[in-house]
Amino acid sequence: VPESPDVDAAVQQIENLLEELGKTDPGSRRRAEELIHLLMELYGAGLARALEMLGPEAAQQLAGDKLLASLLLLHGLHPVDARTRVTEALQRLERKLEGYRLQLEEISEEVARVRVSGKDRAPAPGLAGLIERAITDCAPDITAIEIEGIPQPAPALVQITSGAAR
Amino acid sequence: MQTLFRLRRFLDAPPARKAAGCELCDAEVPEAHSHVVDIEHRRLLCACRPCYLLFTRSGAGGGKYRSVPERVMKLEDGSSGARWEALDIPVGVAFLLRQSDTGRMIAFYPSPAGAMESLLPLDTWEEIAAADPLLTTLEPDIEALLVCRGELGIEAWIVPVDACYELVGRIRHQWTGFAGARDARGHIDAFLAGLRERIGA
Repeated sequence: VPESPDVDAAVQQIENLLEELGKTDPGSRRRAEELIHLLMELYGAGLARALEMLGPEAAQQLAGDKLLASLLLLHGLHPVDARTRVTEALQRLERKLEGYRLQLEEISEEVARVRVSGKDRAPAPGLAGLIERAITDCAPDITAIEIEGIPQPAPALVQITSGAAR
Repeated sequence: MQTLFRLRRFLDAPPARKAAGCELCDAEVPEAHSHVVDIEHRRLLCACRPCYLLFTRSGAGGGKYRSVPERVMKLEDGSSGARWEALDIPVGVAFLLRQSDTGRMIAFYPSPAGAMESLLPLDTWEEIAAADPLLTTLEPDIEALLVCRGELGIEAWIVPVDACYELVGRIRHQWTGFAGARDARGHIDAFLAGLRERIGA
């Protein structure tokens, strides 16, 4: 198995180069963006064709690889639908958290609504962040995540009532 | 979100080709805009008004860019046409342009592949230029001498270089097979009519 590329570094480098171009020559930046668009479309079409020829079983297998799964998601080609992906991601998170139940109440193309229930004690710090992360990692189209059942943090400002006395 | 998904915008966003911007500063430019010549790369750049005005003086911008002027002049006496015959012009159109970096006169001909370039023998040019002092006022890189065989015989014009490319583009667009040269006639006549309108003739 060939070594996995450093995806994060590659993406960061693409953005750095574009920014550099934009500073000296905005026209070139636009052309470079068009270039990226064309190349991505080309490889995306290749991926789609390959999946089609390999059939659903092989597609599932490919989606089991982390790098391939990300690329398939990027191109909207992932063989597993968004609802299943998000549900599974929430189940994995549930196992890590122990004692919380994370229920996917609703999912549309852009919005996911999650209900948190379980233990009586205060939810783990950063729980909302963990849920959001789990969802966006497996469903890049979701732009809004609503989480229910996490108590609002206490207001930061305490109102001072006039004439308060000990 | 996975870093990789940041590449999604390239898939989603259609290439921003249509919203044409100034190729020097990226500001928006209207449909009718001026051009600046990138002398080093021999490229015509679409320019917004402020950028255009920056490079109207010779030597501005380190001589790298020159704004294309608007002068259009018809050279009288071209009617006899004899001296242009020496140029032996295919499809009846040629642009003659001095390149400042080499100092040479270049002749361009429209063709199905765009503008074809050929080196003009210097003595041929000297002969032509000697006959008309106006030709010595031709600005290198940004103005061209357009010689063309129109309905009224051979005509010679001093035109901005972007006008030349416009004509090349029109002809190239329509060029199909052997009829290409014949169809080109209509474009050339229309183009000459446009020039006449510009000088109010």
